[in-house]
Amino acid sequence: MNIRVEGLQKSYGKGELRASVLEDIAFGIDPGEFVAIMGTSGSGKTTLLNIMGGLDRDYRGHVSVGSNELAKLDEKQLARLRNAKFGFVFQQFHLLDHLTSLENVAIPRFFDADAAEEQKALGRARELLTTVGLGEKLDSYPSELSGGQKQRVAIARALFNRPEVIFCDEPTGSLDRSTGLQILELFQKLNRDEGITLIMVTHEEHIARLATRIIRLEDGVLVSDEPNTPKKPAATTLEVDGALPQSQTSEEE
Amino acid sequence: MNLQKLLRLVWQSIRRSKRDFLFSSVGIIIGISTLLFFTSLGTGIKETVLERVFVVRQLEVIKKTYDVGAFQSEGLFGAKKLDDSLIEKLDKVEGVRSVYPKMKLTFPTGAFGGKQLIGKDVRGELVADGLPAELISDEEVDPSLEVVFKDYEAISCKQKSDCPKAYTCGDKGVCVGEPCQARRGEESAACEGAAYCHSERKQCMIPIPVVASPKMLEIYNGSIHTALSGSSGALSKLPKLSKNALVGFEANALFGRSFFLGESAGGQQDVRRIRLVGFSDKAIDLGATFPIGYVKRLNAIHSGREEAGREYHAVVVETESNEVTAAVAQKIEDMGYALSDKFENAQRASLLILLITVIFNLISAIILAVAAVNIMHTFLMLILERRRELGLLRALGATRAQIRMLVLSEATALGLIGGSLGITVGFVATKAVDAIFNSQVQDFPFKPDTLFGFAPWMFLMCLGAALFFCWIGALLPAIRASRIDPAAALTGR
Repeated sequence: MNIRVEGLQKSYGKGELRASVLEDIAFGIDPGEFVAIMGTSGSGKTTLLNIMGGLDRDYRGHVSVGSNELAKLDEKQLARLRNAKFGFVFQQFHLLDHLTSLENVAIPRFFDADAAEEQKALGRARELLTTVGLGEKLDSYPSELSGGQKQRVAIARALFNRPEVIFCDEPTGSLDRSTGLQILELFQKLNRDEGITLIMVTHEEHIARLATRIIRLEDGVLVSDEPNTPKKPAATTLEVDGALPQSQTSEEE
Repeated sequence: MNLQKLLRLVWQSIRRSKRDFLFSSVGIIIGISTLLFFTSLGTGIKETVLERVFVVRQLEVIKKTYDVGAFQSEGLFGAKKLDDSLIEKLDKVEGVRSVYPKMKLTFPTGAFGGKQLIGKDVRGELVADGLPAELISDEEVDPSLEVVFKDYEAISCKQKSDCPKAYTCGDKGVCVGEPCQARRGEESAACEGAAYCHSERKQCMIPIPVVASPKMLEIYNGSIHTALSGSSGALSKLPKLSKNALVGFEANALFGRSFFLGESAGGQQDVRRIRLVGFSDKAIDLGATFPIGYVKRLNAIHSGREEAGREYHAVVVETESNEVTAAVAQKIEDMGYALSDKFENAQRASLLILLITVIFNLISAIILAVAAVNIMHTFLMLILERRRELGLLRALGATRAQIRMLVLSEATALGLIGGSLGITVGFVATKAVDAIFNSQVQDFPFKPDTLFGFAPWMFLMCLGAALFFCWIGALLPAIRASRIDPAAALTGR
């Protein structure tokens, strides 16, 4: 499904304390694209992601996903859209500590009116965990997993209901370099092989270079929206002018 | 979200915070256990007081009288009579289950006997009344006894085989005793079975069957025996008496003459044997109750007035339930009759018990309200801790209503588990109190076997109360949880 954003504006506060977060944003994303939204901290990229994902309804302008104008959907319809068509991957993973990997992946089934029976649903979760390389960690709790493993579980959860779009907010932000690379390779594979539209927020250039298109924000304003045509061929490993990229947090596997 | 999914989600949530869950349930357990305890206590005491001491479903209709100075008068034209026509009218009143007449002996009567029980004969007054024989059930008088509660002088017959032993079919188609010869106190071979030879009438006669009230036995065992056991002499050795020990006991009734009141107006006197055949709540409280046929005939003979055998001194009306008793009482008073004090005493006792039960139940409700506040506090804390989790569930497709349902379902689980545990604790407490009561409290009249009365509605009420207070406590947290902004929760804002 394609995504269209027109005249998007968002601000916080009132009167003199009013602060603009997004100013007149407009762009479109076609099905199957891998789009990176770049910007420094506070540029509004996470806010933009949340609006497109239907998590934030406090904005002005038009955002449509497929044939659905998000502002015109009621709360139930939006929830159903998120459950059926969207997947989310977060920087902090957001796994539930009291559930096993298998149970975490299968959470979306609770809110899917057409969900398969329990055993079929768990079978799907099992299959996804195997796909992301965690076939032997089904009964492990998040406290027993490394950062990279947790993010794989989160990716498997995002894939549970066969989404058309996955929204990723700094998915490698809490991981060390090599683990982050593995996760990004997984995303590339999903985009390439499954045709899933990927929208990834990042503040790191070397990660953005893996996308096919980069949208840059600066102080809430869209400053550029270009296909990713780097001077070198599209990167499959991380190289940034000879300097090692820095993670926001580092994690030992 | 269907029920199965909801249950799974609730179970997962409870697993997350078992300690908080248990902590929240303590207040519910205490509140529900006290609710069950006091409700069953009120019911138990009410059952004992109103079913045995003051029988509230029984109305005793009597003649209306007026206080005139120190006396009571039936008015210038006399009060309305209590007769068979009144019984017919009362039977048709809505809410009435049964009606039966009572007729007292209206002439002096004495009694003597007791040798078989206490070793020597004693003499005293006999207070007696009569009831229809069909009112006494097989549970009250064993039908296999040789003499049962029936009018042996009014058995219709066509031939001798229709009559009991020692009786034959008389000219009027009624069984009469066979002729016999014996001096007073002696037996005659002509009188088989339970019959004895009446020395003056020279006729076999079956003893007059009587029933007594269990209250007499309660008073003896609970008070008189206790007092006698502390006295000197042979009476201090008297044992407690049981119903089985007393059934079959015989004494002699002296109709027409008593030791304190002298002779009857009719002038005639007759000594008849009487035999105790059972105990009944319908019997006169202190005295003996005969089949009413005997009382009618004896009143007609010994009182000096023919009509004494046709007028009742009271009519007992049993209502279908406690709830309709007041309405039936009003109708009876509207018909121009009065009710004895028993009904008013029962009403007062009932009201007192009700008030005390309500007060204790209010205390339980206060405990439950405090528990609800505790639950609200705990759930609000949990919602705060689970903000990120709830934001995630919204991102994964949960609606606000589903989030509210999740929180309220957790409260439901709390109510069901806490309520069930509270019921168990309350029930065990009642058994413990009963055990202490039975072992530590001395016997007294009408001492109940248990202080508590249970009914299925109590358990449902307790469970319902647990659920209600849990829902009340969880409502605000549920609403707050549903209003969590998923974007803010997930980004830590």
